[in-house]
Amino acid sequence: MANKKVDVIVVGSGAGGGVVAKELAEVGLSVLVFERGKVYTAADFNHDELKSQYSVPPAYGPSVYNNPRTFRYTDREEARLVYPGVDDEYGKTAAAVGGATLAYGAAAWRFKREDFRMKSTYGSLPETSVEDWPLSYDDLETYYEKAEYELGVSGLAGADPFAEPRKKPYPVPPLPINPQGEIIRDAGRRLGWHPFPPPFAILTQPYQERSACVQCAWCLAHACEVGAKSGTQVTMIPRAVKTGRCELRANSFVTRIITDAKGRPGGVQYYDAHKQGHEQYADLIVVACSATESARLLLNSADKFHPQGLGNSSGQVGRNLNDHTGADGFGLFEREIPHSKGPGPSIAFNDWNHPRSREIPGGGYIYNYYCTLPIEFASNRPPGDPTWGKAHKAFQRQYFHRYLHLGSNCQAMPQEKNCVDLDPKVRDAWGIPVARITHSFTKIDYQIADFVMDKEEQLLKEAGAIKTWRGGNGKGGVGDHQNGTCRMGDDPKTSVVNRYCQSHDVDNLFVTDGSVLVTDAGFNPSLTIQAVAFWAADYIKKQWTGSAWRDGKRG
Amino acid sequence: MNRRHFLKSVAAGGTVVVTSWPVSPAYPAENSLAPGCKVFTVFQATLVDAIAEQFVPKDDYPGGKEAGVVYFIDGILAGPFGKFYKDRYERGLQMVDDLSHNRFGHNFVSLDSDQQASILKALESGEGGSSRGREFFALILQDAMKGYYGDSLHGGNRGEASWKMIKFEG
Repeated sequence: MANKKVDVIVVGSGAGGGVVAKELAEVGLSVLVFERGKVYTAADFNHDELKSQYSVPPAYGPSVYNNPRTFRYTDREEARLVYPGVDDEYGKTAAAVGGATLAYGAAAWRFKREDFRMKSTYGSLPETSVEDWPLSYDDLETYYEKAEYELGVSGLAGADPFAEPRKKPYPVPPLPINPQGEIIRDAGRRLGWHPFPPPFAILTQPYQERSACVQCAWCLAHACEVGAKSGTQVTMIPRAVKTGRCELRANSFVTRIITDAKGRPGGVQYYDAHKQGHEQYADLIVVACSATESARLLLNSADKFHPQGLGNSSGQVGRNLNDHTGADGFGLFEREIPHSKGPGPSIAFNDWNHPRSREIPGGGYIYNYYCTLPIEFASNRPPGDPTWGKAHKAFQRQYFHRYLHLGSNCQAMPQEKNCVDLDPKVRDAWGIPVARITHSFTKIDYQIADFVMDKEEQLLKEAGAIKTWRGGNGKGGVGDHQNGTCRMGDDPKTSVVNRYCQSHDVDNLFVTDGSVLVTDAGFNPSLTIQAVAFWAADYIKKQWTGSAWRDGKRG
Repeated sequence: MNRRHFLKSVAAGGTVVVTSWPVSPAYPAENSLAPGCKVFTVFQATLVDAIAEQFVPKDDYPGGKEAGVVYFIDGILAGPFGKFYKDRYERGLQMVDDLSHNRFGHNFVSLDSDQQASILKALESGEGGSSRGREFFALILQDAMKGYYGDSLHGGNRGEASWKMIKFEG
């Protein structure tokens, strides 16, 4: 069954898709947003450690049985089946209106100048495919600012001496400092480091008809029942729909982009909630359904014009799949540090993110982590300590409020062999080939994480910790910050999209999610994904020529 | 398949299919569904209770048994994702009891506390090269902690005893 043609189809309602839908609808284009997940409302949200995005099943999708993937560390192995929530390597991205931003931690960082110039700054790193971005911090500055003001990012301009210059202050003040933050702020100062309140897409005062954070302990991996976290489900999507020119089609799973007689994208095939197949036509297709699923969709859209997959003449679709290494430091204290004031993070340091010594390439910011929850705490012990029994129970009692957790998202280096492709055997509940993820970290990734964890332990000791230990990184797998599968670049032979997120092969196809990131920086990616999406939307607005574009007659 | 054979095939890394279980109970009543459970038999529930009590022993605060950890785990197995775990629980619990018989000549629940702990430590460390034992230990430990420290809505943490203990305000 076919539907009325629209100007633009956006596949995915998360960070990148939401922005493009809103921007284009606001200037008068008709937009249709496809989202495979459903609409969740405050009634679905809860304060329950067993019902979060990290649970089985993930609280906000995807549904476990319908959506397998396969995973392997290297292409020398047979990939094994993995399921959402059940297997860590699957990735944690929600399938919901709002995408990953529905239950994200909402850290809202601007990347640093060097993050766009990794190859120029550090050279070609062995075993990696590190490149410079085809755009710079200066290109994006205006768009970072736009994203911050659209979302209501809280922060304190000028507080981070390592931050790049900005033209305007943050729209709302930073989150209040909590006891954990106070301790590491003071310890950091004693070490000569530079503490500051980190930026979050979390409102600290009413802003654009949304209310402020109530500082509960249930933030990361939970959706916010007061709507203070600025996911696209409470920002971009409602604003897009409000124009009257954007339709949100939830529970609708796009499985293929279809092309016309000339091989140009002209619409999509999708299944509705009842697994009924439909077609929808449009002049412009914007793909933004996460690094894994965007690559899968393009590869599943292969046809006689695009035998390797749509937009994949370079063979680069799915390549350079990347994600951060976690670098956690833990400390125990004699004095009590009550931690009931959420969301948790209130002080950060950028001293070890591109350290001036250039001891390591990149690095990561360090911050006090989200509020500790009881089960999470029960599963975290210093190496060698009992994980059960009387002593374990006594430890819970003694240290639950004498514990400090530092976190970091350390930059990991892209590698061409880390990739998403189509599993040759496994299909999902709709009969569509699933994503096969091949991913493992390389030596340099561990070196960077170790470097940052050394600094975390140093900070904890300075803060008076009587014992410290660190988190370990797995061998690989996709986490919360998957990126890199449709790399942006100037050269059509080595990249998938140009600096405006436009396919090198077919100019009415755009990719505007984490897939386009060339390198992933030592920061959470959502604000950068959104700034890039605003930048791409601006380009589309300027270039838009209606149906002529789809006919290839533009310019 | 008798128990000895079962153990041997586990040790040899062979595929073991336990078709009907439990094998051990001396009394047929132990094969009936445990009160308040949807999946566990009396025999199994008693075994899970004993393991949960080892993981979180009673002191000034309730232990894993009193906190109802078994009902939380039973809920997982009875739930829509039970499929991922049911087999592993069936085989794992069998393994615990088999090991107890091998070492001490009795069911796990009949052993004294130190003996029980030694069985669990053997599984935890993968003694005898049993990766299955180690995997099951990790699974039931994680689930027991979820049951003890998680929201009482899911059947465990009765009276929110663990939250009171650690002064968690939610």
